Amino acid sequence: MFYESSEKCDKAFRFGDVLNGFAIATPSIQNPPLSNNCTYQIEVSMHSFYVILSPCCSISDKVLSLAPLLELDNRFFKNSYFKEDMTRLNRKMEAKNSIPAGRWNNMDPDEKAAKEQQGLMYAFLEFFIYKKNGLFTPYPINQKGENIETRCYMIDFRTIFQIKCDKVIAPKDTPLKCKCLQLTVETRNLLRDKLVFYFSRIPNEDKVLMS
Amino acid sequence: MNICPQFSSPTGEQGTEQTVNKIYPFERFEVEIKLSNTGKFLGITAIKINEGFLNYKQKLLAAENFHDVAEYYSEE
Repeated sequence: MFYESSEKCDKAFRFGDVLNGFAIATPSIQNPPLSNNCTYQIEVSMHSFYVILSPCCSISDKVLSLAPLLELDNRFFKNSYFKEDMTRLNRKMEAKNSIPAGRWNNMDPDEKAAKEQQGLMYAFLEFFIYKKNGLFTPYPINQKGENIETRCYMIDFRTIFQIKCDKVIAPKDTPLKCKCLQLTVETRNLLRDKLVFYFSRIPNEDKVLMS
Repeated sequence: MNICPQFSSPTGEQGTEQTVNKIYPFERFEVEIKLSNTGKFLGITAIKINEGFLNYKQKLLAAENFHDVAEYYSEE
């Protein structure tokens, strides 16, 4: 199961939980660095749902790290392996499953053979898919010649932001009415693994200096 | 009188010299050696399997493995 059943879902906040009732305020700075004469904008937006990305043990001190649940990237629907089950994007996969079948079949044999040797790895590192749920509003996907509707959403690790909230004291001392869904332990581990992998990549520049 | 507590006791008996144990990785093993406080090698005290089996280069290789597929999703 992707989410805990309503009977098992408790009131404590955890890594990966889905919340509602928050907003994002993003500074938009056209010409940094800022000085007295520079102007900047703060864009405020509201999404229906947000995901907790603070580690469970760090949910305290009136601060939470969140990421908004976003509509899926249209590109995922080009890949039939993903179309069957979008949550496959959350796991490591063979190279042939990470590429649309048409492109895979037309690939140069040497390139294909090299990719087949790579084994199981992540693709689309920035994203983690949240499985369809009755709480989520369905929306259409624009694909050539196809009318697709989905209730799946995703988080993009590049959109993590911080909120301050006086009611976030500890995992079991939080604004309880905001909690909508709780991941199972297995799903939470998948999210943790992919997030860790995303942040643990080492840039080539550092590799050269450190090896 | 300046008595160094590391080497002599108040009763005048000769004390035991303080030592330091250090662990050095060697291939798949961790070798624990004993050194005097002056850095003199006194012996090997333990050899253990190194449970961090990946060396740094192997960890680098493991960290870079992901399918970079964006180019295959562009319009043909």
